[in-house]
Amino acid sequence: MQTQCRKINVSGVVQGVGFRPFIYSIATENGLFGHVKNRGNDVEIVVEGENNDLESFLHDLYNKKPPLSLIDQIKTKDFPVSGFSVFSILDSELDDNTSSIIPTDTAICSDCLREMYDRKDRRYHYPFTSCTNCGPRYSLVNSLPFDRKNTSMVEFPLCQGCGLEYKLPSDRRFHAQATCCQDCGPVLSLTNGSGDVIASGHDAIIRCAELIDSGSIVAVKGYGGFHLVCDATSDSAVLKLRNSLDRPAQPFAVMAKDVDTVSSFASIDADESSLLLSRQRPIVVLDKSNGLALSDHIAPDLHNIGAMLPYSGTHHLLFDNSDTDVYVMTSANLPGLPMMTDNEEALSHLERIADHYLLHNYVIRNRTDDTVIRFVNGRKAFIRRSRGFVPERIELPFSIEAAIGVGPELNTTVTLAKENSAYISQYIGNTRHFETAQYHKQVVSNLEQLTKINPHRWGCDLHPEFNTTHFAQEQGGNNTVYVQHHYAHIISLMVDNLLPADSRIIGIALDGAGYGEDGTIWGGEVLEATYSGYERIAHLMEQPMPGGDKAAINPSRMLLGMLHDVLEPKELRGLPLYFKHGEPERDIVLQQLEKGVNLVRTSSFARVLDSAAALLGISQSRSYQGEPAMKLESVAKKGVHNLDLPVVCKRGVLDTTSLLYDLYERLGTHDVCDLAYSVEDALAVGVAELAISAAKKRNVDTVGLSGGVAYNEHITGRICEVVKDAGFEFITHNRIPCGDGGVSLGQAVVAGNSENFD
Amino acid sequence: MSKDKVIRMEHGAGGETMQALIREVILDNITSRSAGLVGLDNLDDGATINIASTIANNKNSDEIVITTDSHVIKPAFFPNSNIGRLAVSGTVNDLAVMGAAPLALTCAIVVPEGFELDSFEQIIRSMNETAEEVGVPIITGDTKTIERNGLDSIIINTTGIGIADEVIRDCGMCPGDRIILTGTIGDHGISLLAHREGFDLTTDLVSDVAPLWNMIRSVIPIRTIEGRPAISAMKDPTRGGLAGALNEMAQKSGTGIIIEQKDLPIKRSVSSACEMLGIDPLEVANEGKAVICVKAEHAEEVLSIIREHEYGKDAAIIGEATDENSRKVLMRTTIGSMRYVDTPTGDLIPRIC
Ligand SMILES: [Fe+3]
Ligand SMILES: [Mg+2]
Ligand SMILES: [Zn+2]
Ligand SMILES: [Zn+2]
Repeated sequence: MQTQCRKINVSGVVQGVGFRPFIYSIATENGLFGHVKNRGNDVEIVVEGENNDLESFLHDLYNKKPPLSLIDQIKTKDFPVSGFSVFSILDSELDDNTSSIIPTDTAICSDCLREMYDRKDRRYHYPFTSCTNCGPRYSLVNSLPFDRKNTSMVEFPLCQGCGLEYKLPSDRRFHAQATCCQDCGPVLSLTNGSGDVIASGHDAIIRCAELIDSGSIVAVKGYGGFHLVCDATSDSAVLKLRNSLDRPAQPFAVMAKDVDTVSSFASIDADESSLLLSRQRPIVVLDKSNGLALSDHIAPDLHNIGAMLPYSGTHHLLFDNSDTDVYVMTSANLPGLPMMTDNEEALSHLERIADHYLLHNYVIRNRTDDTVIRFVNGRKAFIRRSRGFVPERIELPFSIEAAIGVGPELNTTVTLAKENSAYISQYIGNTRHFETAQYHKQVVSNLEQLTKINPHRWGCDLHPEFNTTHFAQEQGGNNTVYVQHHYAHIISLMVDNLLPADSRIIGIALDGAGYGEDGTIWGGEVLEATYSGYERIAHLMEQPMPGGDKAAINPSRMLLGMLHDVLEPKELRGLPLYFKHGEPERDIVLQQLEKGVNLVRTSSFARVLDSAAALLGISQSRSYQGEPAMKLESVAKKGVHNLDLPVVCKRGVLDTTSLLYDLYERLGTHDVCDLAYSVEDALAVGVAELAISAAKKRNVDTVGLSGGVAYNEHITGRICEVVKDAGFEFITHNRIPCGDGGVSLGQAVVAGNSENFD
Repeated sequence: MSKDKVIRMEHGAGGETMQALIREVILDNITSRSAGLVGLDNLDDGATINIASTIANNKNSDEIVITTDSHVIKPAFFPNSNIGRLAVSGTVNDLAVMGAAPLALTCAIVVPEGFELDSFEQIIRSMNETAEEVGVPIITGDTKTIERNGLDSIIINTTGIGIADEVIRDCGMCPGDRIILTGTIGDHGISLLAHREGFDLTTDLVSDVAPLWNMIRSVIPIRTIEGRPAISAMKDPTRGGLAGALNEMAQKSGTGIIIEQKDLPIKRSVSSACEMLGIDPLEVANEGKAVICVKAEHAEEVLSIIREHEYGKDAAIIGEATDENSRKVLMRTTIGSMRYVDTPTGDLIPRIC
């Protein structure tokens, strides 16, 4: 037998997840010598020993890897033998040429929980207990490599006990960068509204739980930012929160003590249950059931509710000390602005909203909102992809140049991509607001630093007035690539499904608004798309938007526009619609339509759903994005399919005016729920038929759906059914948001794939 | 996004498209473009002629300021006023915001055949009244008629000559300067739209068209302790509205601007009409307002003088110039967040999903 030496480079999520001690233990178990060290995202292993042992080491590497690690690639090569006599773990070394992957934030693991509940353990009741298998990561990181000195924990030098664990390769906390204990780690404190500390440590938990039980609103600082928390079973607490936030109807997410509690107010299937319990602990949007009496004001007029399970030690301890099993847990932010992450900021800005504050004293480096997922048509639809998933790598089906997608405007994210990897940032929000636009810039520079991707090309939306567009122009200059919004959606869909480079699909992109090549606003589009370009083949009829964005905010305006040519003025005036300024506004809108003053055209799908919601009296003004369409879906869910509204398509244009006219004709003769069902159904069928005829004409075998409307279960399910019945393949999203959170990825891929540059 | 190579309405709308037309088609084709401190390239409200260098042996440092504007408005008669008052005010105001006293006006009229003579006379009388208000003579002119098919309304061009001790530019703003707006925004554009389209806005809103020299003249001489003009920049927010004027000033000065929505003078009738029509009041034209940038320590003094005047009674300090966010305009909204105020494009482009 002869001693051989191998150099092995492992890339992926291999830092901060106990990877080096794992290597140490499998090397020692297999009788090998050498060393292991971190280099950015890459772990380099040099091992010497006999061939059999080396083989067995490699086998273990694949099969026994730590739970939070993710291996993208293992490169092995022969190396000269140097006669090591021990196996050692070397200090981290940063290689500037490798892109790096930071682990995601993860819920507290069962081992840590057990310690936290063990009276004899030194971490008894300590809420920041974590180990290599759990705890915050991305939200703590400042720079690479993922060592304690580059995280918020640098301010908390390890005590003797923690230091020993940290240095002991066989310990669960060996090189656990976020480890700490009550002797050396962060502390909780509970303050009143003016910031005076009224309790700290475990007392803070007990008092906080009491306060929540008694109807207080508490701002709780967590992994990635602040939540506003109150008793979800108390109408008065929930209404107080609604009033102080000026959010009359936007659904609040809840956190429930455990899965059983969730199933007392929502129906959960096996997929949903395992997603709720997954280490990412996202908010899962579930159908409500009529169980435990949650306040009716949590998700008013919706058939579903967003729920999640405790993920931090603090959450677990709060529920242990609380009579309430379900809390409202909503991001603490002012309208349109990013969630708060800083104690001082929270104390000054939440003054009129929070009664108390449960604070901790470490700095949140990367803000991460809760991830929100809904199962649609059997697949995961990311409504918001953030905590627990960011900055996980998204595999691309082919290699591209280093590029960035800066996102659209609302619900934006950014994506950095290079070769066959892409990294989508956390949820950023509405960059129309200056503060959010500033945050957007900061996310770009942080993500550039963490991924080591230096973009050559800047993908942005075609909309000339988005702040993100201006930003890309400033940064990218001649290397700015303008990507039509719906094309970006379809590219993100193709990447999501790992379609190869030469693919061609018929993409259906349905959403609220995207600037079209012709200067109108698109949103109900059927595109023939490849990775290098697209053609708009069919779309919904262009409808006037009286007053532009006003028509998105007030669906009654949109409805008047859609019916203007087919109803008499008297009939239009007779519609029971809502206008903020009452009848004078309605008359102005009618005059606008008559004279063509301040109108823009849109083929938006969402605006048609809004109009239907207005016509059916379901929702006539919107207080949050998607409200009319979401409420329409909830009403339709109660309806039955007893009516087929005729779908008229001419030359690739679906006549939405005649559809709404038919709906109007049936008002009063049919149940509103059935009408809601049938209008969604007709739109879905109509769009599916446009796509099928395009696919036939262009000889394409795959049809796909993207855009925010794809969160609608009924519409997505129906399109899928019709397309599959016609013999075509049908694809939807699973890893990347269907909505505007996925647009940055499409932009980055188009930009990195474009060759029209010097 | 290539569009036909013809003049479109946006080419005259005061936005990016018009700026491009001016840069690429006009400036590039004119060779001699300056006769003093401010020339055609500066795209200021007017231009200046340096007397010392133009007229031999003249030791005076005064600059002659000249400006010209063609006025078209539909309809020619609108609430409270008409194109005659507009044509004089527009030119007087362009001189005034450069710090120049109006010396004389010229007037060239193109009128379509069939235009009522009574109306024509009324327009001329309005021009006269407006000119008398600021004491400026109309010293020469020209009148042409065109077949009724060639033109459907009257066009009046006025050229104004003024004189300034020290010319005030639209690029002189410095960080820290306060921004005064001399009155409510949107009155002209909204009253005109309502009148033209027959919108029933049930208000008594009228155009603000007015010559501003008498108001502005009293603040021009104010000097700082160092003896420099307290007013650093001025502009009249006509086409493109306040948004257009502020953006132009920020870009030319290289500073940022931040304004407070809560401090913006706006009539309730204008804001509700804008809301109902889906129009941004910041982008609506004004014809009797000025934006005055002034050194912080003189802001209150200037404001109180402006407010004494009839045309400035609603004046307010609406914001200030900043070091940060150079060349951009920000507005702190009434809900507490901030947004960029963009240069109007001349198009309505929805953005809400
Ligand atoms: Fe979209
Ligand atoms: Mg001017
Ligand atoms: Zn753990
Ligand atoms: Zn410790």
